[in-house]
Amino acid sequence: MSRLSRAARRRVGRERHDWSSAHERARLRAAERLDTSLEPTEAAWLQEHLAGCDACRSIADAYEADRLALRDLRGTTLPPPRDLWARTSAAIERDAAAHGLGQPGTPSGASGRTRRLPALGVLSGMAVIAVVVGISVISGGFLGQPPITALGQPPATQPAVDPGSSLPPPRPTPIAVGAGNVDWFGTDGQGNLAYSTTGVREVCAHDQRPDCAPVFDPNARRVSIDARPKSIFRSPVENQAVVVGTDAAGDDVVFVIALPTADPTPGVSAPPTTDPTESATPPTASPATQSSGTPAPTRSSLPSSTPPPTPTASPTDSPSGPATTEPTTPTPSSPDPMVSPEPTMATAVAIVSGVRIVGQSAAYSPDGAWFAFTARPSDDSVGPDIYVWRVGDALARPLTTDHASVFASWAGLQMLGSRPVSSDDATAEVQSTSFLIDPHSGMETPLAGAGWRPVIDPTGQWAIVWEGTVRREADGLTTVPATGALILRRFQPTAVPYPTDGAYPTDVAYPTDVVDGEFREYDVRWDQSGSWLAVWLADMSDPAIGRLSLLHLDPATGTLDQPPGAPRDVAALPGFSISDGRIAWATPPGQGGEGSRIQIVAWTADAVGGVESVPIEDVVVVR
Amino acid sequence: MSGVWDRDEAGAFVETLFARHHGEIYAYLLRMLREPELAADLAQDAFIKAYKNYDTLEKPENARAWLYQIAHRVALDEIRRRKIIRFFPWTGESHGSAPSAEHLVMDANLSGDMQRALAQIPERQRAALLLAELHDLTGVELAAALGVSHVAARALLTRARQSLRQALAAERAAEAEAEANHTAAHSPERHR
Repeated sequence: MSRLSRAARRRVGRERHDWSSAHERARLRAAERLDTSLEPTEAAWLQEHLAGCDACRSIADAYEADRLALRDLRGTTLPPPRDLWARTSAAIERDAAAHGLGQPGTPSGASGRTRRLPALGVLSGMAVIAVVVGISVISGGFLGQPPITALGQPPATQPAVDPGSSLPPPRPTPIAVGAGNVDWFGTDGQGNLAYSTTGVREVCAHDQRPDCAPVFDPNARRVSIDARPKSIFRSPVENQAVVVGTDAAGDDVVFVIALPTADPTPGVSAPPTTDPTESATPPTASPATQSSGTPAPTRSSLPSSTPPPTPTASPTDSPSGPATTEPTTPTPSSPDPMVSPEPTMATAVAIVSGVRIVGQSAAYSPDGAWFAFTARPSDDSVGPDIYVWRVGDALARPLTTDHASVFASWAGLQMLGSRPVSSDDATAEVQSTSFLIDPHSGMETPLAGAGWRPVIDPTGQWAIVWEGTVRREADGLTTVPATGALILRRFQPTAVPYPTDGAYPTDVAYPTDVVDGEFREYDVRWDQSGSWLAVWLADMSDPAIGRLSLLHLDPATGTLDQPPGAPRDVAALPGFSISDGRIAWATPPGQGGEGSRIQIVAWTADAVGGVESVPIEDVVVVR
Repeated sequence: MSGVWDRDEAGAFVETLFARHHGEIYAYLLRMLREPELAADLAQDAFIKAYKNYDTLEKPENARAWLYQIAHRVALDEIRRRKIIRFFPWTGESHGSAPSAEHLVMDANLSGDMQRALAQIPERQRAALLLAELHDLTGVELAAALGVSHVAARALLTRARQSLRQALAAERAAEAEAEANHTAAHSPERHR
């Protein structure tokens, strides 16, 4: 059974095994059994518990009684107004007239029925768009799409980008986009690590994926490093990346590499049939934007390969040594790759080791001068602290020493961190505090009411934040969301504390639930415009797999929506990249031993489409 | 559906949809908002949205859940808007207008402890309970209407039942306390 299938089964049968008491378990099950059949063993356990627990039995009876009382309300509503249809049809006609789409009541169709006139010219315009040639527009409109409320599995009306999903009728494809490059690391057919990059110039509507041939990089470069990459973060200003990997001892190691400089081949698709040029993007189409500007590597910005003794508290320095990159050997799953003749040398230098990287929030600062992350000692002796590496320094250093802090996001050139409020009860649900922290000095500025792990958009106006309690996992070290919700709200670091009674100041948009359902680890990232964001939620049972959704935000109103074709709750490995008009992620390995695929979804002002790669082993998307 | 927005098809479609479902959609919105006139306005909005977004419906057999999804979003948008814009209850005398018979009936219907408890639980939980228990949506339909996964919908429903039980208990305790106070205030001992 594939990991995906296992994950899907686990999601369906999601269980909580960390009951604080048998009574809690019994009361939850008593509520659940009204809507679903419990597993036989769980049902038997519940019956046995209820037989011996008067309080729980009373609550279980109350659930049944409440249900009956609720159903008694069936007869308590009023009939709708008699003129409801007249009002509705008149409103449609007024709306149509306001859009200049014709006179009301125009007879048409075989039935001769009085027709209502369409109201949204934009929508009808969208329907006939064959090919959208344009620049990457990051604040697109997608008029007429109802706003979303919370994420879950794809609703029937908004299929995720999933080739296996129910497909609507086809529309013309492909869609030309001006999205930025997508970079990834993967293992080639000989087991060698390789770095690939590809431009994204055209995508296909989600119902037309077969029309877009898989993308690949014919100039993939072999990379030799002494660790297996788990996550990779590209500098926004230089052609270098921070790599979080696992060394031979199984410990995490964080090191910096200069990315290979082979020229990317934008928009190259794997030839589906005989003519490899058929699927290539015309050179005159919207030119792809390099995802980082990709200047030549600045050697001086890399840390010294022989760092001085570490000033950090717990990690030890163990440079990974040099890494080399060279062209890859063609792989069975990479059709006809061209081999670049000259290998590129790169250097991999550890900036911290002996630690375990915590969470998915690590990120470069917007100016590329810093890299922040959360880590704790690999021996699990203490909890996490926030680390920062100044580009060019030999080592990263911890900014906090309380062993309970986590890096949340960058707010301009300041860092945001969060920590739980201390409690004598290590397992209790507690509130959390967040703070600004200066990467130079480590000086903290407490924030009022900022919730847990606020992720600020690049404009500094909005934040995705966990609002609620947090708790420690069973390991006593990892802090996870407990009771609350992941919400969107305005980011006002100097504002007075939000009231806790549910009343919000009138000048603050009411927070919007972004996520529904249980989760522990999550990763939220914005694109550069602050109009697009993606949310990845780790599977409760297997945090190595999660669900990814792409959302569009109207920064003026705080309205979240999801354009048709945008991924919603699609299975994704940790680590996605969102920027320059596209999002990229890796799917879990497929059944039958097939590797993961890079999925790329790009958007314009009017359309969203996707394309995927050929199967790739051990793939890691460069963020 | 054709996948292309066609005004003729959309017009015919929304007429049929209205004929079949306007009663239950209005009832759902009334239960969510507890104001008859507002519920009518929102029902109107929901059908207009259905008309405009007719081409997003993939399978005609899902039309009911799809319509509930639209109505649910309309309701949540209104609730959210009312949280942004504070509405203060009118506490003065109404001049020249008596409560309508409609409002009197509705007030009577909404004054029970169950209705008050429902009004106190989070709106998404309230929606889940109403749709599942009063509007008979199946698990799949409920998930589609709420715009969440089947698992998430079930979890939401469980939380809703827990919240409702607590809210009902609080309502009944407050009722009992008020009754006790009323009894004490009118007891013979007090008037001696």
